Amino acid sequence: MSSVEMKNITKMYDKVTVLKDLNLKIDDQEFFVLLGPSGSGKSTTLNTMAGLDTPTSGNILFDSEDVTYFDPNKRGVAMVFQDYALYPHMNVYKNMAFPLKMKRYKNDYINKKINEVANILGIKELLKRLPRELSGGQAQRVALGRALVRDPKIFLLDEPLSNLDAKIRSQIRNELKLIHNDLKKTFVYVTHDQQEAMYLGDRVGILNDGVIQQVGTPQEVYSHPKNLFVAKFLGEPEINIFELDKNDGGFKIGGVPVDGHNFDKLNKITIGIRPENILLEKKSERDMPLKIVIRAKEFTGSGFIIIASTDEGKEIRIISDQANMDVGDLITAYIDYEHAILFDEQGDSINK
Amino acid sequence: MLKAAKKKFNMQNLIYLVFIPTFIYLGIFFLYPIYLSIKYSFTNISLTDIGNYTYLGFLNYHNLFTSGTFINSIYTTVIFLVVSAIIGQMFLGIVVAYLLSVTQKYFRLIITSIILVAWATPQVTAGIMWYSTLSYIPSGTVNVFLGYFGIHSINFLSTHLALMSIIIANVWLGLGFSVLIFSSGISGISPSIMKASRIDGANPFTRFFRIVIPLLKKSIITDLLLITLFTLGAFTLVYVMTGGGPVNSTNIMTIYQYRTGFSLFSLGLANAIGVIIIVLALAISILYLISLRGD
Repeated sequence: MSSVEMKNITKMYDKVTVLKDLNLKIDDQEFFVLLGPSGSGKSTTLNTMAGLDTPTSGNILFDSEDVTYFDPNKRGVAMVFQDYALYPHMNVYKNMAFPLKMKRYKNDYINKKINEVANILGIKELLKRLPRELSGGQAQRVALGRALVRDPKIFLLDEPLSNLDAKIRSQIRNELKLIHNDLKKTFVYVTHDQQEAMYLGDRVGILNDGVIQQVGTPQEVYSHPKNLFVAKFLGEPEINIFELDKNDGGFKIGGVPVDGHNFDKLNKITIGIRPENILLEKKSERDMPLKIVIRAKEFTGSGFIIIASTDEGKEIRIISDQANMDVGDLITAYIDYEHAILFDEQGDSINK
Repeated sequence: MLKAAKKKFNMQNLIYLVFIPTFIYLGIFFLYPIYLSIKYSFTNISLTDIGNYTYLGFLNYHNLFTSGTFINSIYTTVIFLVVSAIIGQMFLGIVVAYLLSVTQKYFRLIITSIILVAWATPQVTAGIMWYSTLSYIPSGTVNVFLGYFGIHSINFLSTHLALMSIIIANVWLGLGFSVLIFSSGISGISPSIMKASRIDGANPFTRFFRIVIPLLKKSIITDLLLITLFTLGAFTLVYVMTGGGPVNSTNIMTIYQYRTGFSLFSLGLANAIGVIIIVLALAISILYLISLRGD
């Protein structure tokens, strides 16, 4: 049983504020992903959770116990790092035994535990090897093993898959999900890869410039981003953005007015539309037409990514399962009003 | 085709021409003197009459190893080497470098600079400075301070304490070098390994002995090799402070060699001592290098 709560956490290095009044609640047994670009403060958040760093102000609670100034080893957390952080001078067995030895467990227990975990992770043949004799995938499995043997309350993972090549990455990603399902422990996972975040997270917290932008399930943050940053950061290819100025008291695309109330006070709005929500055929009267010229078609296996430009020269991307047009064709596409996301001048999302 | 191959072969050989000046330099200034030293160590050559000498076989070596003064000198040198270089400079160097690595950047910079100033001090200057610090009559800095607290003056350069004093002075002089080597070694350890060890529950003490020291193995060997050679060849500092005395208590091999050559004019014997120092240094170096070959 372990929930994590970060209350008003501020972290400053010298005069640089890395985290600004951050509040976060992670539930017991949850797989929580902290997502953000590099320099957004996500690793600092993880380090303060681990106790490797102390916040300048604010409190960290584990199960409503204040652990803000606890040593890392008193917190019952295990951590996995991007560069595996295996001790180079110890073989795999000794690496995995190290945290248990520090806790003064008996050798019998250590032996049993390591064999048990090695079986789960399929690294039994590697126990006598040194870290430099392991491939990236094997090394990260061992690092995972070193975390698992300790039976920690909370697992902290700092971009553990970033150094691996694509195939092994997806394989270990699957395993992580399964391990989480089996262990029913709290996982906090830091990444800059939005696909990884949406695949793994029960909930995702998006961090930018030391401020939490939005917390929610992957579906929520993808379909209902709270602001432009979240909208742009999630999704591949990136969301299409149209900035509109007020004209005749309303906003229009291709002559079709953008439906919505509360527009009175706004002089500008931004419409975000995901590539899969640009239609090649009109669905409703409220869908907004776009005259576009096809620039390129990319085959993705399950469909196509169409790169096109509007008559204003704006580049847009469309995901479609059909592509019976050629490069250079002039066609009309439609913004699916139902799935369009509106933002005000500050970039915050507004209701339609 | 054969012609082309031949041409390539010649071009490659041409590269060795570049090395010729180096080899000539090495030959004249290193190999030949060593050869001379070995040759003279088997003779009775004297500084007063360099032209005439006769070969004595191993007599010089035999005399040395049966002389109490020389055995005492080896003993003094080994103590000087072990305590001042291995324990003092190397071990203290790791500790200081480790402590510096966990302190703030500017503090680290200041301390490292101060320690390095000692290393950059000319040895004669350092020797005079330490002599005036430890001097008994007239009272040196330390004894003046002891006097303020009503403590009797201590003769730091007496028969019993002189060896300890030159060891401390030599540690002071050489510490910066070791700190520099270990600082770069420690900065080469991945920060995430240090983080991992903290998470795994290693306290600073365990972390130092079970993570930092094993990971510094290469730096340790490099450092040991160099400071061992520095210390075996140490002369100036000790000569200025004690001149090898009192009563041979700081009579390390280099000083013994110098006195044999330039006070007793016995160059043959002095060269024999030199050869023994070289053999000793070589043996220790090879030992270090073998222990490094494991990785």
